[in-house]
Amino acid sequence: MITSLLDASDGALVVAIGRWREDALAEAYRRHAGAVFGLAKRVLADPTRAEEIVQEVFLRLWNEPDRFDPERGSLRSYLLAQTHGRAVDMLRSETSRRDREQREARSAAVAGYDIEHEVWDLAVADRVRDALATLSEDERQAIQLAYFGGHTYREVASILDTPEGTVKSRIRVGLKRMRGALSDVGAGA
Amino acid sequence: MTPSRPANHEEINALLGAYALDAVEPDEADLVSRHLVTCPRCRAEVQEHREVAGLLGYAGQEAPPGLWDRIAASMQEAPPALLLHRVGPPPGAVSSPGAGAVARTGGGATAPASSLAAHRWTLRTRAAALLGTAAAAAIAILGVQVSRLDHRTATIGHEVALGAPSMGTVAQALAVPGARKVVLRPVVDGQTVSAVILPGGQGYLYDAKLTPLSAGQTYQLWGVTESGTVSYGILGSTPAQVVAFRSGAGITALAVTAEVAGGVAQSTHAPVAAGAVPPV
Repeated sequence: MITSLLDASDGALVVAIGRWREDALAEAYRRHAGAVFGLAKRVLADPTRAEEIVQEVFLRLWNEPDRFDPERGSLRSYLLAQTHGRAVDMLRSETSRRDREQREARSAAVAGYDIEHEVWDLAVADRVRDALATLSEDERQAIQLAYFGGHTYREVASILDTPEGTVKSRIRVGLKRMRGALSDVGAGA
Repeated sequence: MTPSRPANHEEINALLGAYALDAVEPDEADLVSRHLVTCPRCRAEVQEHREVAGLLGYAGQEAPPGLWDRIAASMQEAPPALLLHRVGPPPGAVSSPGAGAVARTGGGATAPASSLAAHRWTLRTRAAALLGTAAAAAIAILGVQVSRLDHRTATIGHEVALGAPSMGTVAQALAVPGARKVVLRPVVDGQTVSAVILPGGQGYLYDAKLTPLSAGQTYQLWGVTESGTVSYGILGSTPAQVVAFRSGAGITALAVTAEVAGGVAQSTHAPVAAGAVPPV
């Protein structure tokens, strides 16, 4: 039995959520809702739809907590992966096509520097900034357009006028390099 | 990419970064997902990419005020429809209906491995719950400690130390420091009941809005604990205004089902109402 939710690990919180403890969901929300909202808003550029996603992601955690496997990663990265997937689905839906075309022009314009402004979690900001600095400009651009812009690597290739294989590789190599630089930073921090 | 062309490991490998960022085409996403099922190494790589992306994604801001309240409200509007069997039954638990009850004559814990799935009743829509109960494989339903049920087959209420319980008793109980109030919300239209549990385990059901059942049926109260689900007794076809019961240690939820008169050792029915018990 958890005595203090504030001290509970994310894994323990999810177990408590599995036992219908609303206060455990509230604690998970307190820890991660800001990140979930921030990412959804960043990808969608639409606070209202970002709120919908926050709601969806946490209700899903409430209804299906056993989909989260603490052995497979942190709760935050699990929630953010769901958030990102949903946000990208929304973006790619037919109704968003026009918005997206507008955003393409915009993201291309800002690519290269914006990502650093998005990363300022007090606890890990410095480390993440250092890790970002290990990336080449090309890698950083590709990751930003894919992750925050919600573009497929093919779209990124077309935006940057670069071969698809090169973009795939930049994304993967860039993420790996950052992983190395961040190896001692818990992603759930 | 030609969908029919089988992709080799190297091609899939090259996609893992983009896949982790949801930046591949749908056919490629399928391809990678299928591969990940059988390849722990690639699965680990995707997970690592997602952890990194998670750090990038943190924009260090707060969720808008009021959003939590809306989520909490949605949780209450659509209460979990409890399916009285667990997901992921223990191996070998799929047996003929009733066999489980026979096997569970001991007073010990009946829950299998302490996985999430084992402890949690599946949350489903009501329709799904009804379908689920129809399935013969509705297994491991309410892992009841049968030995404890024996002395609870009569209508509960006579264990009360405080005399015949009334709403006055409930009011007193609610005022006791540490008393926990539980609202059992409807799973089936509009049926609700409230409960209060005192620190010592004495509990009272009250304010029941339960449709009267036929003479051949009874409502039955269940307690969900860390180690299994226990019958707290039968309530009759038309529950009294206030009914006393005794709850065990580690109770996390209360549920009411409709059963044949006399009650059952294990319910195959979805509860008509259920609610989480706040932690001590």
